[in-house]
Amino acid sequence: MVRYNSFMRISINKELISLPDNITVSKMLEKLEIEKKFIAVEINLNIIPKSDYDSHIVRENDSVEIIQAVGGG
Amino acid sequence: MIPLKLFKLSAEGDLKKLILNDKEYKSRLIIGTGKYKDFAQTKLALEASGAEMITVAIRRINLGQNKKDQNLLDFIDPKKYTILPNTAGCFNAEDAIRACHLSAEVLNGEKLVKLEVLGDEKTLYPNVTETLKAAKILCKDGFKVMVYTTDDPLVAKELENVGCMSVMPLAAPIGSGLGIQNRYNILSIVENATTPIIVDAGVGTASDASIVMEMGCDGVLINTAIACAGDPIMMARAMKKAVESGFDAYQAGRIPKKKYASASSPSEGDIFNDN
Repeated sequence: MVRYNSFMRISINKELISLPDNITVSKMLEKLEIEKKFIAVEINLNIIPKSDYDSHIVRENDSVEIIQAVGGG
Repeated sequence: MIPLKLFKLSAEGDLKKLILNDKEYKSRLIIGTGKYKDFAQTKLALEASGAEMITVAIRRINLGQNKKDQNLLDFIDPKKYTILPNTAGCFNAEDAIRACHLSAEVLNGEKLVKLEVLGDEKTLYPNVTETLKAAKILCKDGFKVMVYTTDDPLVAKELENVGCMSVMPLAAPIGSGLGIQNRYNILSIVENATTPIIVDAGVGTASDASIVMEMGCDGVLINTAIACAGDPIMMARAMKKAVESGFDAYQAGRIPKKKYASASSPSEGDIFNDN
């Protein structure tokens, strides 16, 4: 059963964020307005491959890191 | 002064090629992309440097960032440059290994990495124990490891032995601009190497880059000396020339140093000194 208006709190890059319950990684990135290319998503220290973004469900209390390349030496 | 025989040691032979991860590089200058004013300046400096490989760091995305804000890799075409992600900010093997897996995911499976495990914030000196530990695991995991390390010849050799693709000894601490502090060590590393030796960190100005190449190193990685120069784009151009001229001089083979003069003009037919 789909639950509406139900939100969960997850940690993304050490910030607490409210997102609709049990959404996929793809949906989470969409909500955060983050493009899928050249990023890495790690949930509870496990890297989620890009091919799993549409199927992997983000759960309440998950700790998510979203990583990109920046200037560095 | 450096003894002459050390300078001469490998000046003979054909032009050696720089091959990293099965790709031949014409430029022996690798550019770090940190500390530039903005992406536009980074791009112009890269173009002026002629570099074909650039380093990047991996960091958390800024959640507040506008969708239209460009990602570094939107600005710098990964098809044009080889992207070498580093593990900067890691102070133990475990974090460095995690960073390498993350960077491979960011770069769609590319397993080329610049491993650096640092000892402390003040010196940013490599922690060689943790570096070796991480290097062993990463090489076994199929990563192509270019490794930042101290200028200790034994450690450099050990990193080669565990399978690192290239060893990158420091000339001086990161961002210090002090130039090569221990030429004898760098020469020893070069002399014993079977993988490309690329000096990473410590170059301050163009002559430092030339000296690195004159010593027979395969390349040099520069960030701060370009990014923080008065005119980064002009310095990028200077470094390009310095690396090229240093390498040419190395290939050409320098003259031995002598204690006394040696006249450039012939003594035969000299009308001023009949004897």
